Amino acid sequence: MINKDDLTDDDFLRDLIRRSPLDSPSGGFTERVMAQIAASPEVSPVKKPFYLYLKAVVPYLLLAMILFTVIATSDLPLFRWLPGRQYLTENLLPYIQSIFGMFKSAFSSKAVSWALLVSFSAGALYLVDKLFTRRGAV
Amino acid sequence: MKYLDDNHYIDRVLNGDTVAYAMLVAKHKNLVFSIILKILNSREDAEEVAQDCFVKVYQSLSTFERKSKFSTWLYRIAYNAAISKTRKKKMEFAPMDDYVMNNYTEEDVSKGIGDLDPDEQKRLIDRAMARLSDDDNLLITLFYKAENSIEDISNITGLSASNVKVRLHRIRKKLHAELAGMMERALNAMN
Repeated sequence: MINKDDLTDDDFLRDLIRRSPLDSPSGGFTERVMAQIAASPEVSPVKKPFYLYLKAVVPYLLLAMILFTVIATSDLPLFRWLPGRQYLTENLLPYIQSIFGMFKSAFSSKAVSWALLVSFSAGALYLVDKLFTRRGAV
Repeated sequence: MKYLDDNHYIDRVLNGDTVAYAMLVAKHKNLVFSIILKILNSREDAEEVAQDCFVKVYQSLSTFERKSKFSTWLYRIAYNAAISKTRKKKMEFAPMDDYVMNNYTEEDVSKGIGDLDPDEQKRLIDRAMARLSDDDNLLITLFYKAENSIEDISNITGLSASNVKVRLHRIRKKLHAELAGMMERALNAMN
């Protein structure tokens, strides 16, 4: 660790420089600082916005979904103990189809499909804005 | 006025005694003001920045982790505030420039100046320091007057420790050269 003593002996200069006074602010400086502190609002700790937590989770969520899809649809020997593609087609696909069927019936009405389209688009835009727009600190 | 250790006042402020902060301001205001003034070169601007700096420090006092001295933390905030106000570049490593060499050794200068009366000594060192650059004056203030270590100055200014050491050595040489020049002129005037 380097400290002041590593410098060559400079007691003479140090004593001389210390005699030279420091600059000082005008009178009443401390009072003005304290008045400014009293006038300024209390600073509360900044809370981390929820969308930032959500944003942090998105990559892991995507990774988990991809892994699940790969594992669930693969017939690799390594994953033989897993249900595999057969399970997916026989058991999961009917459920997925029924969900899509619900959507299909909902979209059969023009009014409903327009309303859904508008609300989904608005919701998607809002989420994209929340997730990817950097907000300034408050 | 005799001040207590900074941590004593910090603990009091964090326990709700706002008035204790006035003691911290009073204790450090001259050094903070001097540091900022050496960067901004305007008393008016320096007062404004120093005032804002103390308010900012008060508001973030709970985040001070006490890993360094309070003064180091405070001076770093003051230094950065002044740098961002002036949009000046932070200190950088500067090559060694030539200073006037003369026939006097450091011992000659120490003895010659040491024989003068204190007022005359003060006048000479003030004149010698006035001939230094603002950056050099800032380093002198931080090292000799604020009694910061090389590491502290490195933390405050962002310069490497070895760079701080080299620059301080160079400043010291410059001051000796200035003082020797003044002594020589004084002797020539007498003869």
